[in-house]
Amino acid sequence: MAWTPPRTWVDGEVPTAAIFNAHIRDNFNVVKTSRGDDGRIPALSSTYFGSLDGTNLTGVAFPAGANAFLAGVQDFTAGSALFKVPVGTDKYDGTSGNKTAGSLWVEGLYLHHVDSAQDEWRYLGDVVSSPGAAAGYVMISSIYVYYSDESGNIRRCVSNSLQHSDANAKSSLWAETYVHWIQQTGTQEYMGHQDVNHTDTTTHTDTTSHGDSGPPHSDFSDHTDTGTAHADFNDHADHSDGPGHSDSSPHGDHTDHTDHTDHSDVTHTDHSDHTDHSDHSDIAEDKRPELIGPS
Amino acid sequence: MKEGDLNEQIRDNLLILATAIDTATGKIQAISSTYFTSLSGTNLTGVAKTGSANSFTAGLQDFGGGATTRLRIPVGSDKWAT
Repeated sequence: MAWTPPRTWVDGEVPTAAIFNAHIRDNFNVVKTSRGDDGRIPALSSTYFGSLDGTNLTGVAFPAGANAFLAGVQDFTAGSALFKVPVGTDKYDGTSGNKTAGSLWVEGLYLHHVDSAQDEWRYLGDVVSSPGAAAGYVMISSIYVYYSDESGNIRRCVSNSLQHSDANAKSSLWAETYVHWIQQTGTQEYMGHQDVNHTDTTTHTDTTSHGDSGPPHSDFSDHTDTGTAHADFNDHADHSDGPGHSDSSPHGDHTDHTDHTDHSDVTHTDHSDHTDHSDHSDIAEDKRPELIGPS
Repeated sequence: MKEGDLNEQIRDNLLILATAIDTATGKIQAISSTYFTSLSGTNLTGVAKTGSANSFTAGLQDFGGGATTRLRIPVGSDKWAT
């Protein structure tokens, strides 16, 4: 099959078979290549198109910078349609340190996004159900943003940060520093950031009931010396010597009393085992997104 | 057979038919305004479209196909719509 520039015919010409075959048969075969017998192009495929590059098309979505979505509403949630974002580790566009703002994906239990300053954030939504959902679905329902994590949970991002309200706003989703959205029905914009309303518990107290034990210790004072009742014998009487008498000499002073020394103090001990209460803790209801940063 | 008839009905018509054809391969050369009067893709199926022309009215719209897929949402202040 070869194309031959169509012949310019002249009067009186008697075409040969070769001329007809080249200029009519073969050329018609060339132009017939991309057409079916009904005259239509059979398919948008490389069989019939030299290039399938669709960047010249209008009214369709393109990837990245080729996209014509420069204005207007791009509604990907019409009807009962479901919407699924990329799932996995670091599914941001761009490179570490130069992440593309607006990237949105589900990673593990978190909903990640890259903000307008190219910092990455992640939300840990509250688990509202665990239906074993496939990961990556994102939806706005009521006033919340929901997503399905990689463990099959449906999680909900809660915001107490109301922004402005405009009539007839739709359930848009976009990134500033935080993810913002418009509630499902109504006009209220929410900012996906929540200050932590933590409260320090102040109920800890030091125990003050420690005390020394045994204040009733006392030295024994009831000892008594024994043996004070000695007395010198004085009932001897001089006798007079009679002839051949002799002094009776076995009298003597009593010296056998002993003082008691066996009193002892009670072995009291001071208590030192009291401890201060240290089990107070802050309330950890932290709904804020977590900054991961540019890298 | 007059030369005028052949030139008009065969040569000229053939040239018209060959306008969008790569005569080396017989294929339509490209999806561009050189070869298509309209490039509107609103009649195409299986592609994403803009606004209300979108056919995403049901089913699963999976923008996470493939391990390297990335998705961007609008960035900036008040990217909501009415």
